Amino acid sequence: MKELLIWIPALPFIGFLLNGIFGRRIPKKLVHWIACLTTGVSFLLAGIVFFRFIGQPATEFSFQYFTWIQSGAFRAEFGLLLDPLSMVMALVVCGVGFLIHIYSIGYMWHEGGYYRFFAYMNLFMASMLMLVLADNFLLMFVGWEGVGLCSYLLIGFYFEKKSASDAGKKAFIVNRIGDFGFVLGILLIFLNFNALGFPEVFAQVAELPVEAGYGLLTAIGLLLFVGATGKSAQIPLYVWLPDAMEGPTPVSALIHAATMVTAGVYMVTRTYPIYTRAPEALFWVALVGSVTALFAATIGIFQRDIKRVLAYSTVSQLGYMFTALGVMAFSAGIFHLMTHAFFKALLFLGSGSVILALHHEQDMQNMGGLRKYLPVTCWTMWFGTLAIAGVPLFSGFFSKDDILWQAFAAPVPHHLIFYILGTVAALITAFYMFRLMILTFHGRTRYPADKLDHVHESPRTMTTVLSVLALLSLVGGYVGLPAWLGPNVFKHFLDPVFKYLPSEQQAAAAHHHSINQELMVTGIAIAVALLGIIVAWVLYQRRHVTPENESSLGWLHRLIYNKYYVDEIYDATVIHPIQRTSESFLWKVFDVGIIDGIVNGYATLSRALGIFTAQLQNGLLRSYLGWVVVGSLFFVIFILFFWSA
Amino acid sequence: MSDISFSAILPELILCIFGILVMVLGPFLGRNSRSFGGTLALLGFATSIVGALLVPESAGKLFFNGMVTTDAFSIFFRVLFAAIGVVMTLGSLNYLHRLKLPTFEYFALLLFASAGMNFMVLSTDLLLTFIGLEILSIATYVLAGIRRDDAASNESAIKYFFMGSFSSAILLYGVALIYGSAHSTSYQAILKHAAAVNGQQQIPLLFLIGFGLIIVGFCFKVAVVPFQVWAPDVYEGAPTPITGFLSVASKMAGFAALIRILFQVLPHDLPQWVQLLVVSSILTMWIGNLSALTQTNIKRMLAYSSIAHAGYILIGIVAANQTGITAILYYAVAYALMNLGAFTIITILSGRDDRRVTLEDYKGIGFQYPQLSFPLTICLISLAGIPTTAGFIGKFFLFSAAVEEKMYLLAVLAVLAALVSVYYYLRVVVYMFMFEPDGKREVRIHPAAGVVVLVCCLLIFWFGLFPTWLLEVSRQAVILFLHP
Repeated sequence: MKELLIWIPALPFIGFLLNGIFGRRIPKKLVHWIACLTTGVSFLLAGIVFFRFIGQPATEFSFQYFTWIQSGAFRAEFGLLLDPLSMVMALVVCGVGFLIHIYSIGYMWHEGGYYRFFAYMNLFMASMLMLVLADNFLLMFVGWEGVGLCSYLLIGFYFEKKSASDAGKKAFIVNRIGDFGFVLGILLIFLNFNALGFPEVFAQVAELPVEAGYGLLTAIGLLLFVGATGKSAQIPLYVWLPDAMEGPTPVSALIHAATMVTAGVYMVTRTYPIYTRAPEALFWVALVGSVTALFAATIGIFQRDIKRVLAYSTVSQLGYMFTALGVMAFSAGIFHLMTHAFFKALLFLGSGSVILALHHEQDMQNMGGLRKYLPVTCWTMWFGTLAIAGVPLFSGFFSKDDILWQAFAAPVPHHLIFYILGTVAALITAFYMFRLMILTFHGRTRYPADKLDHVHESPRTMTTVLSVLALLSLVGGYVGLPAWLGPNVFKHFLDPVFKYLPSEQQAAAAHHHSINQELMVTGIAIAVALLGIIVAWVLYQRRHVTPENESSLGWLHRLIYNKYYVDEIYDATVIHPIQRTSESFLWKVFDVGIIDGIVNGYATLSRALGIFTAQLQNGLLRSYLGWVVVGSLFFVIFILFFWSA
Repeated sequence: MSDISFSAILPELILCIFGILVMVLGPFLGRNSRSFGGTLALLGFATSIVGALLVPESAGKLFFNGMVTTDAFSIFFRVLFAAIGVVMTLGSLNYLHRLKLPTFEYFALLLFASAGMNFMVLSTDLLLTFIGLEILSIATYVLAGIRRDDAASNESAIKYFFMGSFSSAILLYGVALIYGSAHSTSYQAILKHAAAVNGQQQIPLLFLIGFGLIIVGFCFKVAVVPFQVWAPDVYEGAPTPITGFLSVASKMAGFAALIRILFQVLPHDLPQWVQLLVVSSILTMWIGNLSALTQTNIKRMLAYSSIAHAGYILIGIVAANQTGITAILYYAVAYALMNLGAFTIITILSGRDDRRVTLEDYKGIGFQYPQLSFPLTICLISLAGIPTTAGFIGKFFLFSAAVEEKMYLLAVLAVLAALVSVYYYLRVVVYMFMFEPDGKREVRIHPAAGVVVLVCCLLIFWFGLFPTWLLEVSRQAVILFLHP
């Protein structure tokens, strides 16, 4: 397995090198063959490794390949960790990544920079796989930064467009803020445990007791979580994700819905030994997660851009995952991560299909009634919608229900708050998703009639991928059935990962709740979902409300449509003051006056001295020989002097 | 005698045999088979690498009446010198054809010079060391003047010859004084003698003066202040590939022999030479880098740059700890890669008469010849010591060796000097990429030289990103110098 495992991230990287170096010169067909083949074989390898893995009695393998950095006592290995958690992540990343690569062939075919797109995508795959397979914090950080870089490059893919390059910069800068916390967390870990490998650090953490208040582990947990809020777009660092929709739609699907943004969820789950011993940090995780879930869902209500609705929906769904982690339902969080990867990738790709058919029209005001023109896109997107809305039998129902139930029954304080926030968010989710579907595919057609002739279904490569994802959105949930229905295979598979849970938590987890309570929670979840669906149905299907006449709601609509003015508030309180200080003091006084003064002074002095020293060289042999004599005398006298001293 | 072992000097035998072969066969083959000399030299150097790796390594045992050692240190440098020979051969093939220079003489001298360098590093006897030095020097005097019809080349050779002879005389005088004091030229015997007299608090004047003069002799060879004056003139006038050879190979041989003498011949409780070389190191770095700032001829600029680099290497010697000496060996490899890489490219670009070596000639070639300008940029940023390159790792460990010994002032001055150097290295890059070209020029890249450039650049990054292996090899090679 050791040899196979390394190829999973290595193959996409090779694809990146090939396309990055030769992409400009080789035919377009070869470009996408290289890209898809490398990710496809990676996926195949992940599958092979999976079957070998479940055949083994051991559940954790740490493979060391070579010493990556050695400096004095510090040593970092290039090592990969194979356990159920990294296995699930690798399969999801490879699987969804492969499908989206195939989809991109059709979507990107007519775009410029075809090879650039696929090279970045492959680099992203390699970095993301590095992130989830790394067995130490440092290597994980390499992957973490790698995906950040690719995200930046791909958001700004249409870099001639100012809004796209601005969005790329915004994503990068906001992520830097999060990464700063993440790095501090890693440093704190290294300072206190003198190790960076997951097994070594966690074995030491497992010896520590659960912290009563704010202590070392809480500090580490909170710092790491700052990193997670950046990468996984949680309050207060979520603002970059909606803007990231400037990138091509496959990018939104792969990076900003299915995989990269879940890196924070993965990282918190991976470091569960720290979080489970720091209840205060966990409280913040759950609080931020559940508030984000509700907050982002409300913004999604009145967005007009189809991709922006989905973007806020992603922020909200990531909030769910963090809520699950915050109440220590780690496997529920990862379960939702997986199902979300299926249905959100599907929804994004579906929206991409619509956008492509309408020649880059993204405003839902100009859609409606597209069912007839895009039949496959329409029915596959319905699968995704039913899944995310939590309609029974679809995958999202099982995972979301699991999170809500765990929040309801969790052995942590204030858990009912998280439960209520999550349930209200579920109501809104069902509402805005049905609004999106009805505005896009049903009701009257608002697209200009003269252009309707050109609207046709997307190519086969794209619809096939949509169908596969639709199937996964339907059946993906059956691996994690609730207790009253059947076995939870998914949780059972992941359980060996969580061997370092503190004993108190294990005891609490063993506490059984009655089936009736669980059924009640499920019933409420179904009821709110139905409520949201019915309201959306009445408003948009029966009364033909369109985004344009939504504004009759007045200030409430303005507040939500403008995203609670969060961007404006950030602008006024953070960005503007920083710019002012930078410009009027740091630049004009400090940099020009002091820094440049020192540098220029140093340069002028060096140059003057240089002219002098170069003149020592006059080209005459006799003066050179004179130098040698003087120098020799100097050496001998120096040695004699010091020796006798 | 029982300690005569030809396997101990196998690489040197190979080099000499090939040198003789090239010389003897040359006249018979005549001008029609120019590439023959190169092929034979290449074969000789390659075989010599294999031979050096086959030499049975033994730190304690000496051969040839105590004159020859086969320790890891000598093997490290023998492999390095042979590898430099390979690079030199490949890099200068096309140059010789272009300038219609006598190939057989060139390659025979190169092989002999290489053998001389090998003797310098494997010798444990002052006389043999001196002979090695002379073999190297005489071969390089001729190589510097091999362009007989070129005034600059002649000037270079004459200056080098006079200055070299002068310093050889000083060195030899030092050897004589030491012999007068210790009654032997063998390193072991001198060490024993020095340790004995040191115990009596009465060190003979003869020994001290002799020792000082020997250091002078080597300081001349490696061109550190105040014995650097010859270098810029000689480097500028010599044929470009030979400039590369002088600045890399003969300098490294001088350092290797100097390290052996300082650490194996002197008892380690006699460290008075340290202060002397600290002063020399600081002056060397500063004078080298400052003088390079105003140069407009790239060869002359790199001559000053190579003086500055000798100053960096001296830091490792004066720190005299494991980090320092290990770093010197690492730096020897890194420096060879980046400097030979740069000189190979400069050779390619030097034109029909080897004159196109001023900054003006580099205007705008950045996008005209990206296959040359990018590698040259890599070599230059490595020389400047910018991270991810081997040059950075080498400088980092050299400077941190000084910090370990609490020589903070030295370390700070070294970093500031290195800072100055960034200016003139990057100036070449600026000329290449930010100016308009003065017109089209004919540049042919011989595949052999192309391979050399490519390998140098790849290895610069490889050793810069994964330095562990080379550092470990270097550490193994210097263990014998570290006193417990």
